[in-house]
Amino acid sequence: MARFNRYRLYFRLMDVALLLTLAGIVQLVVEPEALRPEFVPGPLHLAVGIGSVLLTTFLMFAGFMRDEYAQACWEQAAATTVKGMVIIPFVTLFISGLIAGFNAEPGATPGPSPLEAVNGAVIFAWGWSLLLTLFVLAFQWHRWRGR
Amino acid sequence: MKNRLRVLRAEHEWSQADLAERLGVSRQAVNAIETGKHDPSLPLAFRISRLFGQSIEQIFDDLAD
Repeated sequence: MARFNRYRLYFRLMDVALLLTLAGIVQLVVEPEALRPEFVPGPLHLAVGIGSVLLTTFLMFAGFMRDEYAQACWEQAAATTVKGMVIIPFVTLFISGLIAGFNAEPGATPGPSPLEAVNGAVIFAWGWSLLLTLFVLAFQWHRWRGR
Repeated sequence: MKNRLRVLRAEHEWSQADLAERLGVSRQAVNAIETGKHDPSLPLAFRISRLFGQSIEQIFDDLAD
């Protein structure tokens, strides 16, 4: 029986974080109304969401559990996450603009920006979730393909 | 970077987990080094070298790729 190894545990917990992240994405696909600010999350949403946030936040800071390979993956994931956080808002705005343009009546005056309906708390929550999601996906990606 | 870690480990009949424990890293790290996905740091390369009683140049080949 293998002895307890905190380095190995780090990868196992990162696998759990990936599963929770994927479960969260699946929940959004199945129930897109969860994107609306007035959506009231059920117990499963809360369990997946809180579990994912707490575990990923812990793993981001748990340097004592990373050996040099995990640290190398962490650094690559952090770099990818920063790039993603810069690019994703541009892509999101571009795509939402395209969709609004295609759906608009010809000759109609443009309606209010969808961003006007979004409050700061929603942007904060989604920004935070996006950062953690990107980090977990990027870590596993770099681990899978090899740095 | 190519290396002979897998061969050396097999000669000692160690699993990746055995070697990882001796080196003080994760099994995933040993696997990543063996498959060339990760180049070990100099301190880890020295630990590997000492463990197998061979020089770093005998284990790792930086000219292979």
